Amino acid sequence: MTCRELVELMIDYLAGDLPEDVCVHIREHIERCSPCDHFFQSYRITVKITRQLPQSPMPKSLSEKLNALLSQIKKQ
Amino acid sequence: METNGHNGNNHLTPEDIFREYGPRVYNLARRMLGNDADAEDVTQEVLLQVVRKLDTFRGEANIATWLHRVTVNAALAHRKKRARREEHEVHDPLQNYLNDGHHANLRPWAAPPEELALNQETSKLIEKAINDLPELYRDVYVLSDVEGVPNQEIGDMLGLSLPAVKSRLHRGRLLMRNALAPHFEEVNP
Repeated sequence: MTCRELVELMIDYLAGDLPEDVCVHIREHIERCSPCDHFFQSYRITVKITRQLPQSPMPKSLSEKLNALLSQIKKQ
Repeated sequence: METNGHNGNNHLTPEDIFREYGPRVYNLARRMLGNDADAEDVTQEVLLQVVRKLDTFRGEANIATWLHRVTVNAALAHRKKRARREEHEVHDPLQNYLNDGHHANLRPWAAPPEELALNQETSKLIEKAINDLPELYRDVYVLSDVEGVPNQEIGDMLGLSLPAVKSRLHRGRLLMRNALAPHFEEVNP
């Protein structure tokens, strides 16, 4: 398995969607290939930190516009 | 948008929905469209659709799922109307390999995941990297990795097969990883 082939499988590996024998190949590759180890860790961190992204509050001007819109609709 | 909510929404009003879900609608639209003004337009459009369609929605599945669909459709329609073209070519994130399929040199990232808490600066970096993603990958990436929508549901929303969703998600993640790498790689490993 080349590094490129391993990277193609990373999404399924991370999701736990691969058969055990393929996972064994991947683990063995990662153990002996530090670039792939670094790559896999950074891929995992990317997914993890994106999931922690906070929601921004709506701008005050937008909230006011929406409230005005709702009031207008109610009156109709 | 977590699907934590309200089944059987018989008493919900548009005001209730927007109080609870407005910021999520706005954030999803902002991340899909890449700018605040378009996100505001789409949020207003979604509100109008909620008002118009709330009666037909009542009793259906989950309100968060429904709002995801309405928001995604409104954002896609808005983008189509805007017809903005991607300014740059899509770089294939799987090009960075040697001829034998092995990695070119790679450096480890400085912070192990357990220690990497999101501060404001990191959040900004990630938001910018998302904004820089080509639309082709951005929609799937935002729905999956920011909003936590299952791949099958994303496929239904965007009219994509499951393999297409996974392929776009994977490439989106690779582009994100590459964009964030200069900020997180160890300087002297």
